[in-house]
Amino acid sequence: MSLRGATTAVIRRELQLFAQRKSDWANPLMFFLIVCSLFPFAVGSESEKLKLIGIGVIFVGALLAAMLSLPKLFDEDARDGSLELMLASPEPLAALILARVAALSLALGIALSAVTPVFALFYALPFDVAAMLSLNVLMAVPTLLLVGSIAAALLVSARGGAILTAVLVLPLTIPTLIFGAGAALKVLYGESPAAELALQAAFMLLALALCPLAAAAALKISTD
Amino acid sequence: MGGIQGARSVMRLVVEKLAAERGGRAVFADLSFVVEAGTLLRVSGANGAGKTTLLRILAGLAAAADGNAAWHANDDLVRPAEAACFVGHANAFNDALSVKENLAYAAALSGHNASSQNISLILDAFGMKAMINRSFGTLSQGQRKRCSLARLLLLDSDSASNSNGRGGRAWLLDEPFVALDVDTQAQLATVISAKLVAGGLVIYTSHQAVDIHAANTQEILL
Repeated sequence: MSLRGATTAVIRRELQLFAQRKSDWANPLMFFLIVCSLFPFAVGSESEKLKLIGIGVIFVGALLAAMLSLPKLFDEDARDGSLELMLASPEPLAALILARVAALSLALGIALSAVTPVFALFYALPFDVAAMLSLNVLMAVPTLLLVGSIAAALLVSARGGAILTAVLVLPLTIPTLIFGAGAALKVLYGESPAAELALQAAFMLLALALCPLAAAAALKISTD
Repeated sequence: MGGIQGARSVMRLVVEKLAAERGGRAVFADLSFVVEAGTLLRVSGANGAGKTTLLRILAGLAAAADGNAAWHANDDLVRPAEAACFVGHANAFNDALSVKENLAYAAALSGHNASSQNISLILDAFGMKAMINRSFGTLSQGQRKRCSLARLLLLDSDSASNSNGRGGRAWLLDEPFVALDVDTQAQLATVISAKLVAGGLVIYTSHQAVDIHAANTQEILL
């Protein structure tokens, strides 16, 4: 019962912070917009070429944008001391971290996947491809944030932690990238994306099961 | 729930041959003492003697290099997370959220339910009732400190702990009197005395000599 109370409080606080500080969600969205809009200028307006690179560019852009939020996961709390509230809580730390990442994924995943179809217009992608891309962004953001929470926990309040986090996390997101972009490509070629979607979902569930435990262990080590 | 119930009964802290390291360097070693409920323990020592490290170990936030520290409630072992409440140098409040939101969050994480009525009652004890909806970032240093001290009372304000009249969680206070004006220092001293009378256990570090009315006091020098 009090586990539910604690996780609800974590989620509520995360969403309150999101509502309070517009930059938390505006910065990733702006970054995503800029990445997606720069490529067509560099590549040219040939629509076949744009269609092919568009899927990859949008997907990578969404992952990079989501990465921007990773340092926020624990760094600010470590600075003002509220991380100690989580560490000193009688409830399992992994559950609290999961609640936190879930709240962040919910807010950020929905925001990024909502703008994805708009950005797909820059690349002349048909609507069904854009919708598939959007769905995959929605599934990839939680995976990325879950994997990223381990790195963020390890590097909490470390100097230059943001860059190191990116270096540690991005290679681990390659499978998500392959299957996410792969599913959209399949739709573009008129084939069934079922296999890619299943694998994408499998990665998300694997991350869901393992990452909070690893992040909790990492956080205990790095704050000791 | 059994552990939390236990935390509300008579507390006892047993520290045996405790040693701590910071950054690979020993800060203190072979520290043994026992603190019973209703006792005020002052930890003193020079800068860098390990006062904060000791409190963090007692709160379960840091690991001891050697030896052990155990909280007992009626002869049962209690986890530090359920036995103690630590207020350190950092306030543990988020600047963007209001005082009320911050306190509700802190209470929920320690397994308590904080009603708004409760929160405003407790803020009143530190003269902060008017600030309840202010965002924490707009408060002065002293006001911030008062809010973080109000957190202590919040964890004791649970109806269950009031009804059995026992001491509640042990308080671990790291330099609680720093940045407080004279009136607030007196207020805090009163709050600590009341806690001790109720059978609570308070451990604090302080450079200043502050008058706290207490029947049983202990002091250790690191």
